[in-house]
Amino acid sequence: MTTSEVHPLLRYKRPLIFTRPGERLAGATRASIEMGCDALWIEGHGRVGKTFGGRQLVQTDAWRPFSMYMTEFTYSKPQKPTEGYFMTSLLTQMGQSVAASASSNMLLARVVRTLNEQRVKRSADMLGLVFNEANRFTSEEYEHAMSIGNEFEKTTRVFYLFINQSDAGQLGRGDTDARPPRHIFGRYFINSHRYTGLLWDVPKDDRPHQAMSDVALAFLEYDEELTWPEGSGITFTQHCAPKAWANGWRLGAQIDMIRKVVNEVRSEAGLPLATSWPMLTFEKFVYTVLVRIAMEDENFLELTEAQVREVLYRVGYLEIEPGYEGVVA
Amino acid sequence: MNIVIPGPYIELRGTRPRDELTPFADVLTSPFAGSDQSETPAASGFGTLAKIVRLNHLEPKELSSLLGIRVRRADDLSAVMTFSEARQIAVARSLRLPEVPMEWNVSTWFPFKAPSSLLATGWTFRYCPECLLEGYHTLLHQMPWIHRCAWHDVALRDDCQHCGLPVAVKADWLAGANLECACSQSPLDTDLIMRAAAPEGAKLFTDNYLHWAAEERSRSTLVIPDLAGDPRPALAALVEVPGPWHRRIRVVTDSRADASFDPPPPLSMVHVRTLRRSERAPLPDRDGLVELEQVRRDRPGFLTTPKRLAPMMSAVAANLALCLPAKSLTDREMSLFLAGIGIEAPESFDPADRRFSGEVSMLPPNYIGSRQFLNLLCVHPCVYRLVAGLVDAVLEGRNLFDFHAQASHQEFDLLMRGCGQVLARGYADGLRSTLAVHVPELYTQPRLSPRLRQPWVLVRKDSGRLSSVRVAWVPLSCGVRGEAAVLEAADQANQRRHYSGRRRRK
Repeated sequence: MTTSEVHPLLRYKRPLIFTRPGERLAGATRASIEMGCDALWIEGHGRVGKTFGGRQLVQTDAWRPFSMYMTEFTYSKPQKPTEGYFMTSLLTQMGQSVAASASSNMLLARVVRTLNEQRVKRSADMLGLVFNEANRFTSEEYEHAMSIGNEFEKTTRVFYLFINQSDAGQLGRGDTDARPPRHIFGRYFINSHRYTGLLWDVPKDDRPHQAMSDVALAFLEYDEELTWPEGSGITFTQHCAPKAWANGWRLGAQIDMIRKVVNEVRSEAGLPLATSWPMLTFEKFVYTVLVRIAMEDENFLELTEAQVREVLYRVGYLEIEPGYEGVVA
Repeated sequence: MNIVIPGPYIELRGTRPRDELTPFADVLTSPFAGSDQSETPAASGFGTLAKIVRLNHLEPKELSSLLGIRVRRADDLSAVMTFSEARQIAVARSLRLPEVPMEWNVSTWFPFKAPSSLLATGWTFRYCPECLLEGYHTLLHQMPWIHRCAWHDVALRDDCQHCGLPVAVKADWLAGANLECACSQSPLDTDLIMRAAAPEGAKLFTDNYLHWAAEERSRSTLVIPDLAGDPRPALAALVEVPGPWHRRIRVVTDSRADASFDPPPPLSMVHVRTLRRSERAPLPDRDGLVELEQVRRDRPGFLTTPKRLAPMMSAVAANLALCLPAKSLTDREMSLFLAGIGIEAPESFDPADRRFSGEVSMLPPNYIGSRQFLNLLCVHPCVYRLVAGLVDAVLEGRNLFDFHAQASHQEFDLLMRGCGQVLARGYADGLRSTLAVHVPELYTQPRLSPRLRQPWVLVRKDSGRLSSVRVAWVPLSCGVRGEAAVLEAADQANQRRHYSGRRRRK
């Protein structure tokens, strides 16, 4: 059986969904680009969905103020953050062959040409580069990013999205100096965006436009938007729980009960009421409910509180929540 | 610090179907900028390499480390990438191509069966200035029968369009400046080649051309002469492109790009003759081909001329004798030259004031009984060996017995006429060249002046039957030695070959 014949929820990598945090990131990125900024600093706790939020930007273009070629990189932690290492890392991630002996200025030229070729091929005005794990950057890496920006500045424009995991390092901004040199600070550290998990309540600024919470909208993706087989109109929820679906059950229909159980679980662990739900555990929750509970029980009609509680423990909901200190042995 | 810019409310849901979203990152699959072959159809190996080198800012030393090809700085990279299969494989591997693209193989572009190495002699990088500016080069532009770019309508060039120096195709350049001429002008424009697209119309034309060439290749075979020189003049004359393309790729007319440049060199020195199958062919003399087998010897000496060809050789000798200036031949020599056509010397004939020459007397065909014998010492070996090649091309591995059984008499007649045409013209050239030693006045007469020419033949079959034989005669360079000396040197080489062959047999 090939991958495409398997239901997307059963594949080795499950599908991407549109989320409100991703859309808020799109809005912030658009505003930064329109303002003429060089970068947007994205901060957020681990596993809230920053990487896929960035990927959502790469794969959509409705938010872009100008035509852009976007690509994403991740960065490792070298012993010595040289320009050669930085450029080689980018080229390698773009699938390019690189000679060990190449000088760093030649590699810089290759990075610029390779990116520019993709931009020109798409007739795009500018470039957007998403750097995942930017918390691993030192000020030297920012210098290298600036070298690329300077090269592009001659003919076009590059905009960086630096994705930082705020709980990854000791110094807040990864391991970067508390106060980087002014020329770097002015370019890359001015604007920031706080990336959150799926919010349980609609933020005040979004209320004029957004009627449902982020979590409800995310459930709606599985209930109404994601379908399989292609063109069949059968949603993921319908596929996994046909009997319950016929009875009018939806994932989003039990959102109040789910929130209640989430808060109970949190309060038992000494955590405050939930404000957001990290994408990692949310997506695992949906998978477990649809595949492991609804799909395996042909008489499934709706979730019980006990099932929700069990699933939350099974997907490690508490383990990645900030402030959780574990269970006393 | 940490200014949070309020963003506009953006809704991405509904802007893109969910099944178009992927959880995977978009990663480039080509290992170099500009190496995506799908966007430059039918590009040459060198064109691809030149574009990659320019776009990726590669240095010559990186050809080895990145592309796996070892070359010397003095090597012509365009020739290397056209004729070296090993280098083509190495580059294709480096570009992660499943195999070497067929368009990199020069013989794919031939409308006849011939090895790729055919064009190696006299190779010069040839290009359309407008195509190359965008980083596109195709082996179509290397074909000697193509003179213009079919989609840009400009004349093809083999030199720098600014200063006329040869194009800098050696594996020696400064990073980011490959192909740049000594006059500091580059035929490549880095900004344009980033678009990585074939010029408009190129794909359609090259597809049609390759289709036509493949069809022609299944029907036509090129017979290459021994010690072949530069094949381009012969090929330019031999290959006939389909009528509708003729104006687009061959005709030299004034146009925007070549108005100020000289047209390609004329092909007037190349003579072409096409023989076609005749419905009124005489019944074949089956022994003719057996007799022609003699030309395969290392030093054939005298050829027993097949009966079908004897009148042609006699006519060559007689026509030349009748055109010679006064006092060129003695009475006896004249009668030998005219013996074949059975006439006497004209009354106006003025015999030479010298003694009878044994050497001259051996030049015309000799007769013993009813058989004619042709002295091949005065025929350049590239001519009579081509006769053997022509027979082989037609027989295609069959033996003579099978050929006689399978071929129609029209085919047999066409083959014999083709052999006769090659042999007769080669004999005429040889006669004039040898006689010129004794009759120096020949050099002053344009039609009779000695010259040696090399024949190239294109054999065409339709539905498996020989349908035409097209022969092109290309001047053979004799340098300062003179034609007779060239013939003598060729005979000495034959002698050496003959003796070494005899020693091997012992």
